[in-house]
Amino acid sequence: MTAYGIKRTSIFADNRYLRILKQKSVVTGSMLILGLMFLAIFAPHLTIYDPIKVDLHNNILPPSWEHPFGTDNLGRDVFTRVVYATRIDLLASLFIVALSVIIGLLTGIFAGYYGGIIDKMLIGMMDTFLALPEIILALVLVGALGPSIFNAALALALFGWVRYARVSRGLTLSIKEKEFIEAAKAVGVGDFYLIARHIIPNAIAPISTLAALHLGHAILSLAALGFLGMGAQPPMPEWGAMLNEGRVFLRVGWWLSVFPGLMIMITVLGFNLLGDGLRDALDPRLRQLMSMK
Amino acid sequence: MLGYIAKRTVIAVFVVFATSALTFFLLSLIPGETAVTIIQRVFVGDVTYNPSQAEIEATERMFQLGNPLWIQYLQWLDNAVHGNFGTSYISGRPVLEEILVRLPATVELAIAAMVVSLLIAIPLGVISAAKQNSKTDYFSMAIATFFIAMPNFWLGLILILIFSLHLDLLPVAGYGGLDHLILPAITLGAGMMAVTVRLTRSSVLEILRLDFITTARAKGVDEKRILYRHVLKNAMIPVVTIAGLQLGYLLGGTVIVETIFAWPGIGKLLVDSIEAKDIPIIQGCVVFIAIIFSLVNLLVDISYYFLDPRIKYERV
Repeated sequence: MTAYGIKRTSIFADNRYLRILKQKSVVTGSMLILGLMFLAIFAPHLTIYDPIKVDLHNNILPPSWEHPFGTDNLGRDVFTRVVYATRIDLLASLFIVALSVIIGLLTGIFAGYYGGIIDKMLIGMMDTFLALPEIILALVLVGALGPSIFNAALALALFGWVRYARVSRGLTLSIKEKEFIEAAKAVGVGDFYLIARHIIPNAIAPISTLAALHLGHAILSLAALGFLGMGAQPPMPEWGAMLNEGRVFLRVGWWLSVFPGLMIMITVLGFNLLGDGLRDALDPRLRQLMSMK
Repeated sequence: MLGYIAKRTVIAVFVVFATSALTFFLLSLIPGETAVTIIQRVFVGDVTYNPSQAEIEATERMFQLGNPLWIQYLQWLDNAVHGNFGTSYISGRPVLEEILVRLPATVELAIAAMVVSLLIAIPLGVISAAKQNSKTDYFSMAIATFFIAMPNFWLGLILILIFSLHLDLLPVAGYGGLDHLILPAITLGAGMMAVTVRLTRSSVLEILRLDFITTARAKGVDEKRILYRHVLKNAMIPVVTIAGLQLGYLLGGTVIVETIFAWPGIGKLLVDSIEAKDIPIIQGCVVFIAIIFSLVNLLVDISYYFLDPRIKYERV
């Protein structure tokens, strides 16, 4: 309506959440991830087979109507295992990212806010953790604790929080200098309230972007550890571990390795598209923050 | 300048020490009596051997295993800076020797992977930028997006499936001539290729927006000449830097690629010794990787300074 010559704009015109949905990659990424979540939630309803039960009469059958992805060396339906693995891989990577966010956000804000020796120590730790490929540190930790999916996820979280600490530290440092913080302090507002009210809300946009990209990365690392035999242990259906089991049978049954790998790729693609889109939509400053030491 | 180099060097040295300490303490978490392991693996060569109490005590005295962990670490450190990284539990040979034998294979693979990825990525990125928003551009960006999401262990298996098992063109695995190198180098380089295409594209686009390009165009210099003479030189600075930094990450990737292709490098050594709980080798491998990684980072930092003198290093 243009009554009185006033151009009426939608109430959503300046809504940042609507701006996010305008990004094509966010929509594509979200669709992929919603599809995967559907597989994870309804896994038992999508297949008539059991993901663990061995059926040696039907081993290494090529893809057919009964077994769309074929069967593996122990006669288990590969489609069933791939679908059930969605649960495990998504949950484990969610665990990795959640733990990393909590540790990273708290240490980053704490170090940035109070500064001093704690800040120096954090910088030293960040330098060390970022100086080595994460997979190597995680391998050593899993080697020490014993291979299991929980230890693999724990190891990846213990080396994955550094990115969040770096970003939230940088943010805290820049917000700390603002006048409204000084004003709030002058009025007698406590540190805890300041952090909860002013710093954490500002961190949500960059942290969620990082988290989306981290989810894809976590899936890859987790599957890599599984592939090396240092993650999920048989008979647990996990994409990386399935690839590791299928590798031996590459010559006689390509479907054992190809389908789990495709699932990893689709998942990582989904999270990366979502993360890239979020970055472009939400936070032009993020690039700058992420490159800041 | 000198101050900057000194500062970066101090950080690099600190990182190596911190990594060695971190690894040492992580490895001490491995369950099992270290003395028993040493007797079984190094002295007797039989993992089922059941050592007597006296043997265990003698070994503990010999390796000073009764000391607190941090003293054990300092002893390890003292030996390490004198070039003695201990002895492998499995082969009984010095750790340093085991690592140095494997090092050339890993370096060969990492460099080959880097060459493969740069040879593909730089032309693709430049074409994408020169024809921004064209079909070619979308196509190469789509390829890059797919390769970033692709797990390298899966790519490796697919390449083996196609080129070794079906077409029978290249060997499945192993170390040898150029034919053995091709598949591992592509597998390792693919991820880096994808990252570099994107980077080259955005770097070229950034330069194309600058005033001196507009000036050159106004003067009537033709597009090709602008691209080759003016843009490429400037756009390559960040690409070369990131390529240097990627060399470090390639070392991380070698862990997986060497395992797939049975490539006898440090990555495979690390995975094998983690499975065998060969603590001295694990410790040695991680420290070596940390040294290479820090050294590469340091060189990249310094060369960046020379490549682009406008850069001032006051932050950090």
